Amino acid sequence: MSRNRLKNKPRNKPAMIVAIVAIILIIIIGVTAKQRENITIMEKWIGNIITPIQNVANRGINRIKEGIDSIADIAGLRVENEDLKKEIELLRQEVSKLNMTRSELEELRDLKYALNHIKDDNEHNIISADIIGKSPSNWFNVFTIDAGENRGVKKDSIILNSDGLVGRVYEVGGNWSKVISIIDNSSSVSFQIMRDSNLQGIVTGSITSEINGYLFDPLADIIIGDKIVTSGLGTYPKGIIIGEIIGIDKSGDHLLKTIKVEPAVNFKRITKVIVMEPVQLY
Amino acid sequence: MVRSIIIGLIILFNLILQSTLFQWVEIYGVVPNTSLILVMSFAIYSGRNRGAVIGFLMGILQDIIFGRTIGLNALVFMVIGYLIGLMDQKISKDNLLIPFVLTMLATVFYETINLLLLFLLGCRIELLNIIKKMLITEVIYNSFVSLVIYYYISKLFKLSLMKKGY
Repeated sequence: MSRNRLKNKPRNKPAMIVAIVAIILIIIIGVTAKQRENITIMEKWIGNIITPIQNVANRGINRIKEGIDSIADIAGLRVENEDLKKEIELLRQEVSKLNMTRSELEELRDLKYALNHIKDDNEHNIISADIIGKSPSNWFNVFTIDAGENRGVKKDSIILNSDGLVGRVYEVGGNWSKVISIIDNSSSVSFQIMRDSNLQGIVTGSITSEINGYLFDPLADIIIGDKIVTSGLGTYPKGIIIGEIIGIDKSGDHLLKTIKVEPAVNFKRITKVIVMEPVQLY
Repeated sequence: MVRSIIIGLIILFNLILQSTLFQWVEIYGVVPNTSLILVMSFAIYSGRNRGAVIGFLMGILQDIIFGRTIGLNALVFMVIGYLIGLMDQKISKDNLLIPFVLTMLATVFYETINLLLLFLLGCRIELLNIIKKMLITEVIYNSFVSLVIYYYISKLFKLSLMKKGY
């Protein structure tokens, strides 16, 4: 250190530049820490150039992975086939039951239209998109999808897949968007228990990709295996499956009943998602 | 010139691989931080100035494509590139213990600064999980991956192609 100080001035120039850039970066971090309305043009263009390359790479890699998996899985296929056959039987029975309920529902819906004072709220514009890359950082659970402004994605659009809730759009680029998943540690979702909509609470993600949460009512009657769905408070619309309760903490020093949730979506395996327009809050 | 282009391509290539292929090789939910290892390897061979520039570029790209906050990785990678670049002339570059130890230190440094900044930005910090995930799993994983990457980077820098100025 003392030797550095003895050197003449120009030798320390790099250190100065690094220090100045570091300070500028700290300011940028401070400014961009909160979710922004729009991203800068530079960011958008860098994203527009890199994401198509990523998309191609990801598709290739996924194809190879699928190939390897299917070869390795031949033994498992027969067992799976048996299981699926049994499941089909069960589902057939269920379909016939549901058909009866459906006709009833249709009647009620017709009645609703006839009364004509409630607007149909299922008018979300839905598009499908591919995931093209996941954040390499171990801190965040952020990924990019291959749809952006060009396909009408908006900030806070809701991301789903066939299993349940995945997350929401954080930033929108030209042909790409960043999505924050519900297992990210900054994400929180208000939920209700599927069988009883009075039991509500909030679940949050964590850096270990687990979902934990609590119920507003400490005396709520819940059991392991209860399914939880979004309650419609906040960003997410009502009735999207989040997951299943796999643990309940009843220890006395908690005023609230805390739960551990297994997400319905397998976040390690998702490749395709559905993007839904955000709920209008105003 | 050739050298800068090659390094630039490796940075880009790494970014793409890290977000796609390396997601499949996670251990306990930890993906190896190959950007950090590459910054470290490049800095050892390029000195402090280029080390800092390479770190900055690597970080800012990662921030723009995946980060929630712009500048977080850029800052940490730049400082790591600069500090390791300072050792340019002072260490034996052929010893594989060097990348192993440096990656260990760099990972701890990276996670500590990240932790500090995220804490100041008001993120929820779960200290026990962080120690388990970042400090133990990631440090060990990164250190072993660094041996492989460093070996190939050192081979690359010994090519005559890389020695003609920049």
